[in-house]
Amino acid sequence: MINSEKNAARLHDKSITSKTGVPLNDLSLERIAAGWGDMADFSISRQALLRQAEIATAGGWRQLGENFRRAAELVNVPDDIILQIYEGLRPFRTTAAELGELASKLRLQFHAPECARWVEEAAEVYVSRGLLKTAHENSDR
Amino acid sequence: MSQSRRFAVRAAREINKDTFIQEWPEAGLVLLGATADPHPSLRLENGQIVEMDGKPREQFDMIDTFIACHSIQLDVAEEAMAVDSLQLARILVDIHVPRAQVIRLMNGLTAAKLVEVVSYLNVVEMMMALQKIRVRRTPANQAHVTNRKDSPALLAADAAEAAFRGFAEIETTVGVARYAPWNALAVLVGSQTGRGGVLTQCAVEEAMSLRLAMKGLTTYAETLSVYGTDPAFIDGDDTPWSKGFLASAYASRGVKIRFTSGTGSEALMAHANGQSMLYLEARCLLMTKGAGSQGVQNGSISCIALPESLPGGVAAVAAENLLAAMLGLEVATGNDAMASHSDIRKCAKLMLQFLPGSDFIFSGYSSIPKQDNMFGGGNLDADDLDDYLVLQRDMKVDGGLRPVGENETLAVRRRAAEALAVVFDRFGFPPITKAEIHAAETAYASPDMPDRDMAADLAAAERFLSGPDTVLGAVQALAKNGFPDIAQNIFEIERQRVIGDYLQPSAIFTGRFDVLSGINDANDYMGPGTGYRPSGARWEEICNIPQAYDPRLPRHATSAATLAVEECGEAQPGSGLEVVIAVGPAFGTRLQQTVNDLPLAEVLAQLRAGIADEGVAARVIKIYRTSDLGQISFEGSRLSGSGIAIGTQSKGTTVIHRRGLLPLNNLELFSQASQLSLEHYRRIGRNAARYASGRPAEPLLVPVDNMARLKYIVKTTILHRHETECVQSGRPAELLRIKTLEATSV
Repeated sequence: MINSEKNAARLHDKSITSKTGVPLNDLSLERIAAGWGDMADFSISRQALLRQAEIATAGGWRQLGENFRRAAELVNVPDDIILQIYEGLRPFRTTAAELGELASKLRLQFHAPECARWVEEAAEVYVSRGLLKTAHENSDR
Repeated sequence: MSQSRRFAVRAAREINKDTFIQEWPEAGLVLLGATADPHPSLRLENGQIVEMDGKPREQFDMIDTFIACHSIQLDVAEEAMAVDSLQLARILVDIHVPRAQVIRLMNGLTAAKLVEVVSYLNVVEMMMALQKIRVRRTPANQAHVTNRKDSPALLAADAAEAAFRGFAEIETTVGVARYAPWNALAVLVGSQTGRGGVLTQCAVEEAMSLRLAMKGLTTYAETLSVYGTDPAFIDGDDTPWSKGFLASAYASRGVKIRFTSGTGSEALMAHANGQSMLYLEARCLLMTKGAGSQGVQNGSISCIALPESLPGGVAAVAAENLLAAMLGLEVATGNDAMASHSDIRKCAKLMLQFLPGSDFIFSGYSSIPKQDNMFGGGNLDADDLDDYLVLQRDMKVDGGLRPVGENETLAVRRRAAEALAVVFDRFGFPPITKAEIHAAETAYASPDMPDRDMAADLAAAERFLSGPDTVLGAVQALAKNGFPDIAQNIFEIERQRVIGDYLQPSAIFTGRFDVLSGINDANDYMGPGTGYRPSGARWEEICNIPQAYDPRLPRHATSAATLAVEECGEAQPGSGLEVVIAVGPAFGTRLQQTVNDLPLAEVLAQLRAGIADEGVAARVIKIYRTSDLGQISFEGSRLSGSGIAIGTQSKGTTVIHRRGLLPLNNLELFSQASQLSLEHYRRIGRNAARYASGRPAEPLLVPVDNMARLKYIVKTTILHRHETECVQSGRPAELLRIKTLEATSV
């Protein structure tokens, strides 16, 4: 049997809003069909992700909860910056300084300290494992 | 040198097209116990791992560092590592130890320890463990929907059918990469036509995949591949941190993800570091968990033939599925690539996931014919769907699919293609024609689809990707053009992003958009009588495959000839040269055809014609007191003037009997009625007449068919049951007058 009391959606239907602050119940097919809204109105909010983080953690999925907390920080980071950071974290793409800049941007501009820490931790490992742009170029010679 | 013809036959069998090799541990071609595999160990100092699996922190590679930082739960690690691996293996299958308690300990184990634990289990125990500790209580299945032409109408129709058949997730990909936004759109529209709430994804390069999700065209992604050694991971152009960031990025857009890993990938890339496949997979799974992925697809995936070439390969693939479940990860358990040439071996391998159930039994069942599968072709495909549905029914196992009828399926396919045509129109794409819609409805595969102008299509797809249009335009177009239900389903899929419940472990949607996940549908298996078992309406659905018929209703084939008889009073003992044909109680009344659909009118006509060929008279009587052939013919011979009788049951089983023989003895018995033709019945008539007139008769030889019992036992049982229901004990034999007289020529 499905234990619907534990269903997070049911618990939060009333209070949940989209990233743009639209209450869940105001999102209707009629309004969309009439031309209202854009994808931002169908984007998850920081609060909803933090709530999902709590649920995951309480269920025993600690790392998933941490991921949702990082995700909550990324809600307001634009798509192109997200893609830029992802690209920067791939091997041999960036220098230590560039990763440091990405981390700073996350921390200062987007108030994303956990994500910033993630990038900084990557930078440390990339330095020691030779995964930075310069290291790669040197090793290729 | 002599050659065995039997060896030659076996050499040509499908199994011998598969490749088998001996182990080569240095190349990573070994499932377990390579010499370079470490022994389990863990040492903590000041809340930090300083030694893991025999390696001090200073020597950690990239993956070790990630696992030590993120994957192993330190609060339980020392306690868990201190438990004997055999004991941990035993609690995996111990029905008295709750799942949560098992998972808690597993969260503290290193890769080497995890592998040591599963190495104690045989495959049956692995299945027991998977049944007990997989995340979601209700099993589900995922489909692959692709086609070689990237035909949008066919993608929509196939996605609709897959959804209609019960797949909870649909994965597509592209032939030409630039089609990605179109394919994602076609599969989204199609899936929501077949059943609301089916999750969809388009497997393409990571950055593209993320862009599709951001446009609202996909709801999940599973192509986040991880590898168990540093060089393999880096060859894959990622690191655990880049993958972990992607995981967060997807979640931030309300998109479900799972990672991908699988035994053999490192050996394939020549970067196995001399370590076993299962040890490297355990590292992948720890990274998956550490990065915060809710789940993984594993089970060797596209490398499946590599572990299968080695001893213990299929068992190890089951072990890797189990390792994922042990870490609390949703697991989509492979079966998505061709595992063998041999159907026996393919199916045997499948059973290790199918029988225990998993979160997704296939991480891509090829719901389209394999020729159109752009992932390379699943272990089972569209042609095997009926087999799969029968397996569910046979084993009383919920494999995630349901039987569907042809007419409803065609209607759903057509509607999906029509809906996509409306969406194409809205976005100004080159139109989907009526001919395409019609072809998509009935197609076997993409060669049945009309060709499109690929250059124009790709230009439109690229404009769509870079332009402002999103899935919301599709919702509007569908709502305004006669597809409000599909619009509603797509709208609801998008709305669910705002809630995010389906980001939780192992989440799927029901048709009413209720989430089933590890949070609200947690696996509660605790031994017999607990956990998920198909029951009620779902079991009924699994039972009612379209081929199954109601045995209570006699089934008449198309033949027109109906026997009409008139009863002429109690049959009396005869005299003179005659053969009595004694028929069963349902003959020509309730039953009109033999087990192999010969009309009883013609069977009787041939028997009589055969007797007449030899110049002997025939009398037909009906036995009411029994349906037993021995008794029918015994009674016939008792009444026969010559003492010779032919006994015939309505199912066609026939015997020639002579008065004085015991009921179970006979002159000739034709027990395989399915093998009898009308010509045989004529010759039976002749032989009986020759016995009656004392002339020699050569016993009739009927061909033997190995499959006869398999093919006819059910029908035989049903026909005999009907005949027996017509028995009237105590009623004497009736003399019959036959109204339909003439035999048709044979």
